[in-house]
Amino acid sequence: MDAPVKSMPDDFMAPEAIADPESYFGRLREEDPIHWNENRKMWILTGYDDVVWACRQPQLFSSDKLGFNVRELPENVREEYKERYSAIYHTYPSWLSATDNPLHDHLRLIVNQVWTPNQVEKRRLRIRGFINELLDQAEQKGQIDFIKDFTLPLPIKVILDFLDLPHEDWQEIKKYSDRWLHYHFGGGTDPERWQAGVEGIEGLINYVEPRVKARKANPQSDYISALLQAEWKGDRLTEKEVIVHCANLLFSGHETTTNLLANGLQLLLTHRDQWDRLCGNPSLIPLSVEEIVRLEGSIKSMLRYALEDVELKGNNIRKGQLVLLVNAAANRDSAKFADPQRVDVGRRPNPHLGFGQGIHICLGAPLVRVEAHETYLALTKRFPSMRLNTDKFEWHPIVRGRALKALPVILK
Amino acid sequence: MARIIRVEVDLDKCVGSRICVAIAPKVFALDENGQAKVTDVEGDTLENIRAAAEGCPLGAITVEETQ
Repeated sequence: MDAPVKSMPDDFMAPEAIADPESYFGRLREEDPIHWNENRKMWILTGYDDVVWACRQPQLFSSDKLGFNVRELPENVREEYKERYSAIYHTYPSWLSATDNPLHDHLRLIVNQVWTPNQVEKRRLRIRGFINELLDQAEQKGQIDFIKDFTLPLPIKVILDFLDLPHEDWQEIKKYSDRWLHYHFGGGTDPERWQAGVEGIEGLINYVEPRVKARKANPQSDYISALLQAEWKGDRLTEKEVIVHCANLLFSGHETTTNLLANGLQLLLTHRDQWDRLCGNPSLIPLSVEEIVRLEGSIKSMLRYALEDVELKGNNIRKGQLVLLVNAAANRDSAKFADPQRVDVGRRPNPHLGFGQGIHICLGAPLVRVEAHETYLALTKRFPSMRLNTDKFEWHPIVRGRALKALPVILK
Repeated sequence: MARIIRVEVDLDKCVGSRICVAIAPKVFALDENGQAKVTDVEGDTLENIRAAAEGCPLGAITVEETQ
């Protein structure tokens, strides 16, 4: 529909929409669930059924990230960008979340041989160890920024450990990831962001490459060696694909987890009854993590572009147009969830879309779940009286993610 | 060797990742909602059907075998 949504700025980057995404996306869902945003020149889908439907039609809605960034560039600079920012052109086409089929299936089916919920489960005790180590240090301080002191280091250490790389390297990985982020989220056509992306990607690739080559020459019983040898119907990953995949894991393996863990604690501590409920009944923790992902997941929306003209409930989405699939809004759709705005750590069933749907369903979800379960289990057990050290929260101004800038807490 | 196997997809868990369809296309297909359905339990080797179940990122597929 092109009917304008009245009496609010049609802008998901407005400060109110960043602070409270539901204030914008929720209204769209109620008033115009298939919305054309003229300012941003993109469709915004907010209803549960529509978001699920679109996620499950990868042949209609492309995830080819490099493809749509390049399409945004004026034609006369395309060749120049390709030369100047070649690292982006070399890595994105074999990056799982940014590819379409048939390439996506080739990568995913091979990766799937070694990245399974069982493999993740085997790391649980190691993860518990990292958590307690960080909490021991935090306890000494008493007052901490939960993000800087905990949710930043934890997931990077975990993903490095998963790859059998030294977890002491986490700060180096963080530095490169931060550079890469500038391109990955909202890179548009801005040369500075492309340049930052190149620096981040090259940093991670250069970090990973010698380590992959070493495993290739001398295989061990670790993830990288297993990935190099993994085979699906005679098909294997090239060395370059393994390098890109591992760099990608280091990047996407932590950013979103950092945010989820912090968003979750903020949600629980601002709904004290739910926190107390968890402290009294730790068996609810797995369900509580699903509720956190539903209400404050670290991915608010997913961007696609239409590969052909699509008619959706009387709306004509044209080939090439961008489509924003807002899983955060779908997760509060009363057509799917009873009393959707209520925080209920025992909610069941909870078919949220926080990890996406369809072929791009989050690869890391099993790992995130283990990290989140173990984190909240340790926190509720060790610090049941912990409380917020602020009542003001600032969120990063991004549309696809949901990320707090800081989360000061007092542990005891 | 005769075998009777039961293969089930839990639709509450299935997110339509299509991994099972890619692994065992003669056993699984997508329904009109984009979720997996079983079309023919005899369509592939037990080993491949198990691989499809283990490959499911949501653990939505169960395989039972009776000799």
